[in-house]
Amino acid sequence: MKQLIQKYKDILIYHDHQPLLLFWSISDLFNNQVLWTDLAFWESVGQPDTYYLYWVYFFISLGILSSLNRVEVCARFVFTYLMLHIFSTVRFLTDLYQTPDLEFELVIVKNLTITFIYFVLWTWIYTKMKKEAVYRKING
Amino acid sequence: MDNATITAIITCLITGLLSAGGWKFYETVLKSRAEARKEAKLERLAYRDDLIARVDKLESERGHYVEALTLLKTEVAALKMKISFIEQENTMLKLKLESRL
Repeated sequence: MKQLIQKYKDILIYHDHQPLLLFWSISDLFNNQVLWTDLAFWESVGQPDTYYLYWVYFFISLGILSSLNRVEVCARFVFTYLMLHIFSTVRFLTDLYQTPDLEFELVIVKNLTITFIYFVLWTWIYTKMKKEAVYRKING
Repeated sequence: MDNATITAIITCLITGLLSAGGWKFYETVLKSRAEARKEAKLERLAYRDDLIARVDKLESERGHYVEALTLLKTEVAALKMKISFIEQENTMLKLKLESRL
C-alpha cells in the first residue's frame, strides 16, 4: 500500500503531462456540444449562454492542440481553460446556494466531486507547464 | 448579468491575479537562485584558472631549476675530481718532503 501511494506521488511529480493533454484535448474537441447541438437546442432548455461557453471551450481545446510544441503559449490556453472551469464551478455553486429549498441530492455531490477532480487535474497540468516555461525562460 | 455570473467573474479575476502574482514571485526566486549558482560557478572557474596559471608558472620554474641543478651537479663533479687530484698531489708532496728530511 505504501509503495502504491509512493507510485502515485512519483507519477504526479515526475511523469509528463503532454500525452494526457493531447488525448484530453482531442476528446474534449470531439465531445464538445457545439458539434452535436445548436443554439436553438440550448435556448429551448433556457441556457443560451451555455452554448457560447461551449464555443469558448472548443476554441481553447483547439488552441491547446495547436500549441503543444510551444509550452508558454499552451500554458496560456490551459490557464484560460482552468479559469473557465473555475467560472463554471463557481457559477454552479452560487446558483445552488441561491436556490431556495434545495434538496442536496447525490447527483450534485457526484458532480461536485468530479468537478473538483477536474480542477485538481487542470491545476496540476498548468503548474507543470508553467514550471517548465519558467525554467526554460531562466535557463535560456 | 445575474449574481452568480458576477460572483464567478470576480472569483476568476481574483484567482487569475493571485496566480499571476504567485508565478512572478516564483520566477524571481528561481532567477535569484540561478544567479547565485552562476556566481558560485564563476568563482569556481576563476579559482580553477588561477590554479592552472600557478601550475604553469611552477612548471616553467621547475624546468629552470632542473637546468641549474644539472649545471651545479656537473660543477660539483668537476670540483670533486680536482680535489681528488689535489689530495693525491698533496700526499705525494708530503712524501717527497718527508724523504728529503
